[in-house]
Amino acid sequence: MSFRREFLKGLWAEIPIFRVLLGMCPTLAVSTSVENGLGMGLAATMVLVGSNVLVAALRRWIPPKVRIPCYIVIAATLVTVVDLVMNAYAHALHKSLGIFIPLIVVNCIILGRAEAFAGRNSVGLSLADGLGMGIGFTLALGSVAAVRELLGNGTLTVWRDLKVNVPGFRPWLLMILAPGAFIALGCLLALMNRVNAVLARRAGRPCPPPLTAECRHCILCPPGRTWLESSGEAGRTEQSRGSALSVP
Amino acid sequence: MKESIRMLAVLTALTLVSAALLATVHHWTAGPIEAAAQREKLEALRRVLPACDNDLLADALRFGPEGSSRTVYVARHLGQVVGFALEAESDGYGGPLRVAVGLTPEGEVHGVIVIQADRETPGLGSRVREAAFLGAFRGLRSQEARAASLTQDGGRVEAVTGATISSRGVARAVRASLEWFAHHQADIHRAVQSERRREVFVPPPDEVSP
Repeated sequence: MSFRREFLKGLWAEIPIFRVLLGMCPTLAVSTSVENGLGMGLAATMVLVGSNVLVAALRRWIPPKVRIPCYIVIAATLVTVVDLVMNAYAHALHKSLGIFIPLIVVNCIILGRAEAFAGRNSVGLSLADGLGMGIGFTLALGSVAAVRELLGNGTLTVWRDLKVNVPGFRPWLLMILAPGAFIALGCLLALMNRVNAVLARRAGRPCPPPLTAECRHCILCPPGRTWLESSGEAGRTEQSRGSALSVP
Repeated sequence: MKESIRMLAVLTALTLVSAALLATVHHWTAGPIEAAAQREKLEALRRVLPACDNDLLADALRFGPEGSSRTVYVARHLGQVVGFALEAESDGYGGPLRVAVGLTPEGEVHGVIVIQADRETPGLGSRVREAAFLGAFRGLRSQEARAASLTQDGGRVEAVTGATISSRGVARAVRASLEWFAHHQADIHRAVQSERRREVFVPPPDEVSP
């Protein structure tokens, strides 16, 4: 339970889109260009950090039975503030993100971390958690967007004019449309699973499936050595949506 | 009972604080937001008009009754009228399209710019913003507004491949502007010549198109 540990877990072991399978909707919708992805990720990070800090600060006063409405009020207020400030001071980005800024409220990462972490940890640790998860979300979103934009448009727009054009490449238009979003996300998720499986095997430990997947549906561990059996830590980690690793 | 009161109190307090915060931030940002919107509009207008040096927003003319008026932006250079700009709206593929059309005083299209097309498909419909598509509108005259349609509809503008609906929407908006301008050209020139330039010019009811 240290600041460093809570921060770093959001960058790899529990990275929002690829391990903690949350925040997929905005990912699919906004990842049409790297600039949009990064902008959305940064806005979501601001809201996530603010929301985590506020929920942690108020956690002793919020009665458990009304905690969800309270978390939603906090998140919605923060998002509206971010929306207004962005509209005033970063107008171009606000225009390109459009309706997806208000949709940060229903981004499950916000509510998920408030419920699973900030509601029962200190302000400092919640700050670390929010920052880590937010930056992880931004990185994951950026990578999906990079794949989609490169294959679907032949460019890589990092920020406004910071563009890279791949000459002589006829883009595959499908990648910019909705099916391409699912394809890109699915392929990157599979890649992430593979990388984790290989790393775990090399380190000699059993391989952890994504946090909200059911253990019995996963095929990453070699037969006879599943994550649950070897680690004996069923239900240990804070799950964003109940105990996904419950024994089948 | 005590639990219920506590829940009620906490929620009420939270929402009151949140409302106060939102009101404050809204008040602070209202100015910059308005300024940003104006700046954006001005920039769009300047891109479709010939070089001008007047205050486009202050010199704009309003035609028609309150509530359904049309704004004509007058561009002047050294006092001489060098062009007009109109805004038009139409339906695109996923939402409304807003377009600004810059015209010479004779009614020839000087430039077209898409102000709003954020519901169009990125990479397809969004390509109506590109110069390759919009350039086809240049030189079209308001007297032959029918030319401002897609080639498949009998006009002279080539649609963006795979984005016929978005292209048609933009063409429709430009055509509507040209038709309106042709209809009101005399009134506009009269209003511009008149000494009291900033007065709202309301033509007699039978001359205003619905």
